[in-house]
Amino acid sequence: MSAMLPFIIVAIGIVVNLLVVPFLKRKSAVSYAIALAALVFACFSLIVAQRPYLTGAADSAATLAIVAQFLAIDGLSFLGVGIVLLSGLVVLIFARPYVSKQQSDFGVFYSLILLATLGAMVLCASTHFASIFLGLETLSVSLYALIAYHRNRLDANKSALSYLILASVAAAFIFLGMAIIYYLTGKMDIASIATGDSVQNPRSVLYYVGLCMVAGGFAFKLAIVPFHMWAPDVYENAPAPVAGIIASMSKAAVMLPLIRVVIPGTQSSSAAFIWAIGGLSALSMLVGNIMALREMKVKRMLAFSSISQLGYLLVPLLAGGAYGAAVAVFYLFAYSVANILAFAVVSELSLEHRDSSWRNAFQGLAWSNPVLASILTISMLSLAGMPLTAGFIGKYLLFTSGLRAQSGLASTISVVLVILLAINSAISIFYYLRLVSVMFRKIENSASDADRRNQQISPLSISVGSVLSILLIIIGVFPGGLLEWIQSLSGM
Amino acid sequence: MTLVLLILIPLLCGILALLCGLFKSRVNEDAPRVIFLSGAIFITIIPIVLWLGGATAQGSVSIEVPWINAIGAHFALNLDGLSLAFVALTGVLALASAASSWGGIKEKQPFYYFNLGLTFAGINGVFLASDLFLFVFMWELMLIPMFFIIDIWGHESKHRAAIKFFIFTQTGGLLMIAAVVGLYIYHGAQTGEWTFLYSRLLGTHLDFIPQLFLMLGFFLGFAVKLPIFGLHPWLPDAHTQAPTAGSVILAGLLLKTGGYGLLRFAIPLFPEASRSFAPIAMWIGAIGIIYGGLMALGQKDLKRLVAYSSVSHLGFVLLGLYTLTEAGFNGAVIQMLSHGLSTGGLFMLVGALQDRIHTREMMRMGGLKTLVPRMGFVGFLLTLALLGLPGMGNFLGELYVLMGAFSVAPVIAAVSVLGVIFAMAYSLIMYQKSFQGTPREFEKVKDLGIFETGAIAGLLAILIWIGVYPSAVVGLFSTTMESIIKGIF
Repeated sequence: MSAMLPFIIVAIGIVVNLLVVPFLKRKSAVSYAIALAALVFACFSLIVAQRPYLTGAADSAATLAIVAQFLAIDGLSFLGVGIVLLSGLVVLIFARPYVSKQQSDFGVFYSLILLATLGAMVLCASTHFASIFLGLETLSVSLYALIAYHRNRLDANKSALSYLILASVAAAFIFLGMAIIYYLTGKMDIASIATGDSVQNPRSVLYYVGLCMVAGGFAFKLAIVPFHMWAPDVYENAPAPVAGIIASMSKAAVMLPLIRVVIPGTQSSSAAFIWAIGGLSALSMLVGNIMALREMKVKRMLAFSSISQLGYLLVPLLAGGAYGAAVAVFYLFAYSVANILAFAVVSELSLEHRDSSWRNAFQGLAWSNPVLASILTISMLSLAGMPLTAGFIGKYLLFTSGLRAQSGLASTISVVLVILLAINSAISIFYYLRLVSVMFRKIENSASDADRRNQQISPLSISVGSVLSILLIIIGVFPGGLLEWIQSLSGM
Repeated sequence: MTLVLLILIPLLCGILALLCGLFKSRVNEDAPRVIFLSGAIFITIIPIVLWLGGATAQGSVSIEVPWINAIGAHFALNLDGLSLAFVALTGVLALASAASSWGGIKEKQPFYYFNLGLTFAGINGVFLASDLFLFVFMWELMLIPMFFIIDIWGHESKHRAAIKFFIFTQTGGLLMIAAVVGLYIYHGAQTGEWTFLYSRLLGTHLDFIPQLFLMLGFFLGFAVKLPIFGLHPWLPDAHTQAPTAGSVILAGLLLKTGGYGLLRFAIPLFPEASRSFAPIAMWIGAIGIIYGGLMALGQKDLKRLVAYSSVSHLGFVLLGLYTLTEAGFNGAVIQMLSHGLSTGGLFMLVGALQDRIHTREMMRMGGLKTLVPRMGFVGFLLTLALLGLPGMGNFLGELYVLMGAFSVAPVIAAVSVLGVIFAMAYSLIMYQKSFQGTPREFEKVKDLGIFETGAIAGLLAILIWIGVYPSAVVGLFSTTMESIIKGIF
């Protein structure tokens, strides 16, 4: 029962928040406090609930709670829920100064963030199509509302509408694919999809069609090429905290079911799977990086960088097994934290009527606000995979998992992917470093600078940001603890 | 423990310098550079003490501590004669960069010395690491602060030069990481021992094709740094646009990490592949020698001339290393040490000149020897070093390399001798155009300060010592060379 506590707490938080909002009369502090308390308590309960794994009372593959066939709170879901809760908490903390600066501080914003978090958590623990769909839709619908939060902005509305339409189509594809698979196998749980043993004729075209539809829908949510076109526009026009949620929480949550599917490791022998993952990964890496090179707007650049990072994340899926899962989770963690930090800085620098999107808005940040600049620098360096940051350890782990694949086709494709990974990492340095370089240039005197410098940066977000960036560095130098924890929890 | 100090001291100095910047109001403005200077003195004294104490005569000083157990990485440092020579070079050039930054860097000093400290920590780490994961870590650690040094305190096209430098080096570095991981996996699959320790990975038996690929991964990573002909485009820009101390570190130390890596890792870990690849590498070296020499002859920019001369001189290093003979190895290392000293001094001189007259074009200079006699004097000595005058280390380096090359590939050696002729030409042209003759544009130039002159003089003194009494230096790393050669054949 205690294992379900994080979910229950967040759900209670949502309900209380929604009940309280009508009585608030525009004073959103209460709503914010409730949301913050819910997430903090959920984090605590998570830490407490996963103690059996650490003390050895439960072995790694044991599930601490099962909700029918739908949810399984096992080690992997703890890891996923941990990433999701951390992202949600940080986003909440830096969302408040953002919306108050833009005069749109309504309590419902926090409720929506909580709702998205809950959807993401459910996705992390899902082992069944029904719960996957439930979590996915909860997450998506909250995101629709969050993207369109600034009702009076045309761009935001346009992006939100396009995302709504596209995501609904993707969801419909997923639904139909699930239905086809159910028709062919009579089962809807991930375990049987993973091992594929209840399919009478696994090679039947219809089964592949079903799988592809589901995979395509997932690829859309993950913004993998060629389903990536929505990402730059949505990232650019959504409020910065919301873009942070999309970049970190939603990607992490959607990856978890995929990771579950590859854990048994039977996919490595399926040529179709290998080609599919290999192709998607290579394309995402290349397209994401090349398109990011030309971007002058920071949020769009971060969108393309996310596309390529997801391409990198597909490599351990090819390796499969518990090792691949552990690597994927570690990299997800490093990637989510780095992205959250980047969007935190972007939202801190935002102005009253719009986000500061252009790269020159960051010029000279190192001298006007060294703390924010260091946070963003560490985030960029981690995404680029520089040593001293967790991103380096993640990249190294990606290399190892890529080169460990055993059988013929899988290992050839893996080697190709690893070479592409090296080359793409080199390409990506260009745009990550360009932002860092701009931050260290001289401040130019102009009107926009004056009002930029007069902005107040909230101390809470700065401290949380600094703590997280120091965490990235500590994990970059001493990753052993986190690595062992992840490995023990993912059943390696 | 002493070894850890070599990395820790520059790191701490850097962090202290940064803190000085954060508490600007309460701390003296000069504090960062004094802190760095004291750190530099320490990391020079330590290797000298170790050398005089004969620490490496018996074997090596090392430390090995588990670091990341989950993947088998250790924090392992090892100081044998070869590493000691390079660590000593690092210390000496740290003093030199302190001298050239003393008056040259005026803005944002705390952050500058932070980057400088971090770079030296990384460089020492590269020369000391005996765990491949740690090596890669330190290798990359050298890059970021160097990028900042060029990008923030450099000259006109600093941004372009900095990014070019970074991307070239990093691409090579990433290929090297892939090769390291590949070696780790091969070793693990064969022996069940998942480790990055150099001593364990040394005897891994690999089939030829995988060995070739892994070797190429390592080779490319180091070749970009060296740089070899073809992977060199980052060098002229980076050296010209970097601030003086940046050029000193770049030319004096960073290039040597490439050569050191080839000698320590690429060749011993993959003997058969290295033997097969050797002729190609030697030809690339020879082409680099000629190309660098020719390009240097055509330069109007003083710093760029010196940069291309580095390409030429390091072609000798590549040539020497891939002769796979003891003479070749000794020559390559002497060449690296001497080149570090002489080019370090040259860049100090040229950088000081640029700071004073704000130009690097030789056509606008002239007659500097009368205007700034001290500069003229050290400039003359450095020119002699550059062209390889006997009595200085550079000559010995090239001689040994050519001796080694003649014994295995006479044709390549004969071609490379042309490089010596080019070196004479461009060195003398450089001196003649800038220092001799009648003054053209400039009439009054501030001469070198005591500190700078002392530093360059010190470099020259060591250079002459190596040139006249090389057995001290060669004896230092002879055991290492023997074991490497034994491992290859």
